[in-house]
Amino acid sequence: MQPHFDALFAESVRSSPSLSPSSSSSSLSTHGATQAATQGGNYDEPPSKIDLRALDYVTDYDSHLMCPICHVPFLHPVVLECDHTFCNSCLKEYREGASSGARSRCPTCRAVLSSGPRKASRLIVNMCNETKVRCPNDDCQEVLPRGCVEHHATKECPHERLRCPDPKCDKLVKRRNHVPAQCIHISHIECDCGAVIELGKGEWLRHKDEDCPNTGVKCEECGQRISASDYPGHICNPDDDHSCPGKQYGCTDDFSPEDSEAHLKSCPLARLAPHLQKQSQLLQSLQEQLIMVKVRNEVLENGFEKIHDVLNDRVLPYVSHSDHSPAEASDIEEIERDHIPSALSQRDLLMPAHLGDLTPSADPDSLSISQTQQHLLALHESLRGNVSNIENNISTLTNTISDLDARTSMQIMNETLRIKEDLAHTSAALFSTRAQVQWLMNRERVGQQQQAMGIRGRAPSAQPPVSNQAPSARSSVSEGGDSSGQGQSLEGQPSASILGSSPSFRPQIRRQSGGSQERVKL
Amino acid sequence: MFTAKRLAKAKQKLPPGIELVKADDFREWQVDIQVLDDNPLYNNQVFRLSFIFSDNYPIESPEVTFINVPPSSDAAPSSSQSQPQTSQPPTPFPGRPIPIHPHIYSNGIICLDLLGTAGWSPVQSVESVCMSIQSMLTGNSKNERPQGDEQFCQSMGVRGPNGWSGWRSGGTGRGLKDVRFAYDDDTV
Repeated sequence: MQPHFDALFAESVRSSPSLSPSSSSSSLSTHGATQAATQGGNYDEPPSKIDLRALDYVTDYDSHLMCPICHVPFLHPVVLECDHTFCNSCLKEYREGASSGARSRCPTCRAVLSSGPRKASRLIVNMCNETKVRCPNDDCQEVLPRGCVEHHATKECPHERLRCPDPKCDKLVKRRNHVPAQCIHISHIECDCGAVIELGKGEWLRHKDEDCPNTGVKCEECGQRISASDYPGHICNPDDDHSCPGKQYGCTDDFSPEDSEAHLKSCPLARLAPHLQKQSQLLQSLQEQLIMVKVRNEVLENGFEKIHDVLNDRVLPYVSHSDHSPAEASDIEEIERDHIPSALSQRDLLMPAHLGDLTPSADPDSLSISQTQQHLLALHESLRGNVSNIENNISTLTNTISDLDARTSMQIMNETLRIKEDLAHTSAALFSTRAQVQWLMNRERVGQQQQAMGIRGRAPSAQPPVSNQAPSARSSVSEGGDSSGQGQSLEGQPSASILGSSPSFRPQIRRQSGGSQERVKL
Repeated sequence: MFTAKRLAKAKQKLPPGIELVKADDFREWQVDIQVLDDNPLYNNQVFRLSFIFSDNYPIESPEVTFINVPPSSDAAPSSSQSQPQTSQPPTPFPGRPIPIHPHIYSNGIICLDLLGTAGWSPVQSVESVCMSIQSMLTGNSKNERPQGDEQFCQSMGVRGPNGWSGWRSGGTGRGLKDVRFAYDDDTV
């Protein structure tokens, strides 16, 4: 509280140094407040009821967020012209405490300031208000951000001390015990342990004797703290009991510790107690075994269910797929019809019966339990064997199908090969006939030309048609895949040598004829 | 009061050559300081500073003086106790003299503008004051007391529980702040 008062009263304190801030009066506070409000350039922070600078800061905070004057994270930070930041109240206190020359200077760098401080950015304010502090009220261990602590400590905290509602009573009362418009100090009393007890009903004595953990009565023998009212009947050391050992088996006799020996001798239950204890132990172990057996049964049931699923999911789809060989598929179906329903029926009918046997009386049936277990195991095994058989069948089926596939594809291959060969033959024949037709046509044309030449006269006009013919012959040769027939025909031309004249035409013919002769030999 | 919090935090970290001797309350602290450079004037010597904080610290400056501790008066009992156990001869407590410096009077009063009302800034701390005095000693080369040392010491009298008793402070125990220094020498 002190620095806040300082902030408010510092002006008046400075004018009269003998007056200490602690001797505060209401008139002074209003005076200080008006003075603070009239100071130019400063903004007024909302008055806080608790001193946020004197709080217990739980965690370490960034030293950059620390006000250089009070060394805690900035409280309502303001920034000076020279870019130094301080708490608003720290700066105010500094200015009020400083000499007139230093008042308009920055405390850190002593730069002369012409304008007043301005508010720091919200970012810094938020970062500073985020630091964790402990609630300042005694007994309250709450840790919360500084921005929330004032609300908590003055509005919510159950440990906050409030003024007693009775104006004549100057005591304080915790918020959790506070009753509006009623002074609880008249009718109630607060114990050291924190409880509030109403007076006048004998409750206070009862509390002190029985409830209060601080008082109560301590047993001299065992050191246990018990309520005072129980003390006369208190029995020390419940471990070292003098009760009958057969008590839990039905002995209802009450006796004093001195008579215990006589009772032990006379009580039949006490003598039977060791035997009964053994029996109960045996019962317990048998029960444990029964639980084990149940667990195993469950496991087996799960196994059956899995097998059923396997049959449904794996085997049946295979059966529907294997359409190629209907005989074998029907086989599989028969197997399924034979085995699965039986397994199901056995499980559905036998298992509950066995379980019914098991559950009510466990002990004498342990032999039969193991038998049924074995039976179930055997069934399980046989089912598994069946499944594997079916799987084998399916695999052989798939093998035969693939065989068939291969065979048919081979046949198709053979057929196509033969057809291909035929096609090649026919195309070859076609080519040879075309070549012959060409040769014949050429011959006819040449004959016609010669006739025309004979009619017109001499050579020069004979050349163009020949040179025209040469490229056509060449192209036909180079284009043809099988030029055997054509080569023959071309060779036939010069040997016939009706034309024999043109020198540019001949070497080409020769070359072509050599190549074609080789091909013919091949 | 955040002053106590602030001072308590200053205890945690102190730079080299500065050692807290007594910090039982938030009224007076004693700090040993050492000159770390090999200045021949203060070689291997340790000096004791006394900080007296007012209620308004850090707005008001603390009263900082050197105090003189005669040799083997303070730590002697503890060292004599440990003597029979350890074979090493215990180093006798060398005492804490008042350093000779043109700005330090023989009664321990320091003439430093930082500690006056005008020079003080609430930004300063115990740590920073110690470092300023350290550097003040480090930079000194004159083996002399200030002018008028004897007169000043007589006028100030002796420091008692109520402050200085001499006429200069009026015998009323007013603090050092009313003593006016002329901070004219910038060479040191």
